[in-house]
Amino acid sequence: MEVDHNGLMVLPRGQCLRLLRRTRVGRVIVNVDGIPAAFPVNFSLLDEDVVFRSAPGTKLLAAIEGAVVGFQVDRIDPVFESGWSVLIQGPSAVLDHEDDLARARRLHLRSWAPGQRPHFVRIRSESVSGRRFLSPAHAMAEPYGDESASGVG
Amino acid sequence: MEIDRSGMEVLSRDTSLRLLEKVPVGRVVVSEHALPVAFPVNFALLDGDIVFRTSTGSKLGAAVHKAVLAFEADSIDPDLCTGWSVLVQGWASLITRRDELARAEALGLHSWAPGSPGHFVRIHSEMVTGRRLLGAQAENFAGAGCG
Repeated sequence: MEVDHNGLMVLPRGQCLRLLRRTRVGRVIVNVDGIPAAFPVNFSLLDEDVVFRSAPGTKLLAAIEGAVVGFQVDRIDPVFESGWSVLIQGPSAVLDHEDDLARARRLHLRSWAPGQRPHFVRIRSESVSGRRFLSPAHAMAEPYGDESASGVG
Repeated sequence: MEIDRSGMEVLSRDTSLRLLEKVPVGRVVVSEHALPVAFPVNFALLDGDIVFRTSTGSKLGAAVHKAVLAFEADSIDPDLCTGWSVLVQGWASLITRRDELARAEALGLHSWAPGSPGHFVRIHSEMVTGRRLLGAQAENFAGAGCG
């Protein structure tokens, strides 16, 4: 098990992608007018890349077009405050090839927000990193040994 | 009730901050080597500002340099198409004054990183924006791709 410089467990890329496949809401992380911002979206994976829907003319669409953006997903148990977080970084693009669009439509992606969202945006998962968390209280109350290895989320 | 161009209710600053009080976890959003990064933290509000605890690393680096960063929290049900999202943007600072530290200590926050209990960072909520989608609105929009 790899541990980062903060002492957090590092999740390998394959496990990160498996966790993403079990999740439907994530956050697009992007600079808008030079200030970091985050926007929750419904998403799905297409060839290990993140795909979500967007309406034309939004600030989000303008900010992400062609830019390297982040995408973050987490699942954290509010009681035990243990869980995981995955961060993807890569260039984004609006899908325009008919093949890609046809495959994206088959994902049956629903937009969390209302309104027509005809555009599909893809974020290439060039960098995928994940961490697991255990709350200090949970970590201390762990007399059963292997509980921490049993996979949260 | 104000509705934005994507059909969601625009929340006031007060409502947004009240919603933040209901969740223990949010995400600090920061640029690291010009790349956007977000990581979850256990947080609380102090005088309407976000306070979280961190050990060393990028969060602290951003805070020490008084960077402008963002904080996001949400609660979304993708099945019902209901939920809310709040974004706070402002500059960050380390809490160092003794009286402020005592108040931060009382919030019961912790860092998930094992080891040192870490420093307290405050994100000054200069800009607070929130959006909400309620069930009734979601139903109205059910034919338009949501729900």
